[in-house]
Amino acid sequence: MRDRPSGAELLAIARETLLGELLPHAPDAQRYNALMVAAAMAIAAREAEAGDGALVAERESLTALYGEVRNADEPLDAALGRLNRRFAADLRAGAFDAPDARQAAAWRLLRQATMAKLMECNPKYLEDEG
Amino acid sequence: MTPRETDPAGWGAALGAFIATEAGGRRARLENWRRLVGGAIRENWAVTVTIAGGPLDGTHELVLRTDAPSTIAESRPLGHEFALLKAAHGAGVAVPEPFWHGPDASVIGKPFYLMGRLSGVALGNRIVRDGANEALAERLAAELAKIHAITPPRRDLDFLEPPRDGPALDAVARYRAHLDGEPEPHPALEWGLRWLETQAPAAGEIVLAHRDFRTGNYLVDGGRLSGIVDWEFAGWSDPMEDIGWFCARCWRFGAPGREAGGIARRETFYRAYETASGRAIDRETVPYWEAMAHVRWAIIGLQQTGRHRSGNEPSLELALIGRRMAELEHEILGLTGVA
Repeated sequence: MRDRPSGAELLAIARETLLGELLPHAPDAQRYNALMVAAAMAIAAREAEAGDGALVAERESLTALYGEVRNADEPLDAALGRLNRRFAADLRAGAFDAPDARQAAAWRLLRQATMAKLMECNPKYLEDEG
Repeated sequence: MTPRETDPAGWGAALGAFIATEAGGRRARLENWRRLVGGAIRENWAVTVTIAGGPLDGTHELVLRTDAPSTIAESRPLGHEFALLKAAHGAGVAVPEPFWHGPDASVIGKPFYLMGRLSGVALGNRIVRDGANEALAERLAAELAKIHAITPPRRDLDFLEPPRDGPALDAVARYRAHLDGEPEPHPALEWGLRWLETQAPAAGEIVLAHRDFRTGNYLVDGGRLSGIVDWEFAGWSDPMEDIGWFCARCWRFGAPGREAGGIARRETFYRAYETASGRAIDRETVPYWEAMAHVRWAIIGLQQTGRHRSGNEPSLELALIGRRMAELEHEILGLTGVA
C-alpha cells in the first residue's frame, strides 16, 4: 500500500503553503496565476477525495434508464463513455421529448451528474444560490 | 503592472513607417509598449504613438490588437472586427476609436489594427465588487440600443452571414456541429440544445448583435462607462440574444442577486433599453436566450479548453475553463427543467 500522506492530503498542504506563504510575496502580475494554481489544486484534491462514488451512481442511473444489465467486465470509464454517447444521441434525436416518467428520469440523471461535478469543481457556486 | 518596454516584439520601426503613411504625417514614433492582460483570443498592446506632421500631429495613447497564437472557431477575423468597430463608432456607440488596419503580414508578420485606448478597468470582478450601479446599467442599455439600431443590409458588413433558419435555430445547428467534433459526449448540453430547438421563438427582427455584450467587455472609469470592447463575435441576430447574454448568471461575477450583469436590477436594464430602443422586451422570451447563453458559453468553453488539451497552447487558464462546464450545465438544466 501507499505511504501517507495521500495525494489529496499533499495537495491540501501544498495549496495551504501556496496561499499562505507564497502568495503574499507574489508580484501583482503573478497573483492571478497563483490563484489559478490554487483553484486547480483544490479541484484535484476534491476529485481524489470523492473517489468513484458519483461515477458509479451515474452508471447505475444510465443502465436503469436503458434497462441494461450491468456487464461486470466493462470498466467504469468505458461504460460511462458508451452510455453517455448513446444518451447524448438520443436526446438530440428527440427520444426524451415526451413529458413522461422517462423524460423526468433523464432530467434527474443529468441533474445528479451535474451536481456531483459541481461539488468537485466549484462547491461555493451552490452556496451562492442562497 | 508589467514593465514598459522599448520595443518588445521588434515592431516599432515597421509600424512607425506604416502609421506615418496612413496618418499622412512625416514620421511616427512608438514607445511605452505594455502587454495588456485579458483577451484569450487576441493579443493587446498599449503603446504611445507620437506622429509628426499631418492632421494627427501629436501624441496618441493607442492599443495595438492582433491575434493570439491560436484562436477559436466562434471568433471573426481581425479585419472583420475592425469593420464592426468602425460601424459601431459610426453609429455613435461608445467604443475605442478605430484608427488603422494592417490587413496582412507585410508590416509586423500578422494582421493587426490600432484603436484608441479607453480609460478605466474592464475586469468583471473589479467592476462587480464596487457594488450596485444602476446608472451604469442604464447607460449600457442605451448603448446596446444604438448597436441594435444597425440593421441589414450593410455593404461595409457584407461578410456577416445572414440568418438562415432564424438566429435561434442557426445557433443550435452551429453548437451541435461543434459538439460533434468533441472527444467526449455532453448529454446535458444536448438536453439544452433539444429544448432550444423545440422552444425556439419565431424568427423576428434582425439587428447587429454584439454577441459578447457583458460585464468584463466594457470599461468603467470612476463608475462611468468609457466604452464597449471585444467585437469579434458580433453578427446579425435577434436583439434578445444580447439581452439574455448580458443578464445570464454566468456573467454576474459572484453577485448572482444583481441579475443585470452583476451590477443592477434586471428591470432597470430592461426599462432603459426599452426607452432608448423603442422596442419592447418580452419578459417571457429572455429566459430562452439565457439558456442559449449558457449553452453558447459552454461551447466556447469547450473550444477554449480544447486549445489547452491539444497541446498547442498549454495554459492553466484555458485548462480551468474545462471544469466550469458543471456551472453552465446547472443553469441550463434549471432553465429548461421538467421538475
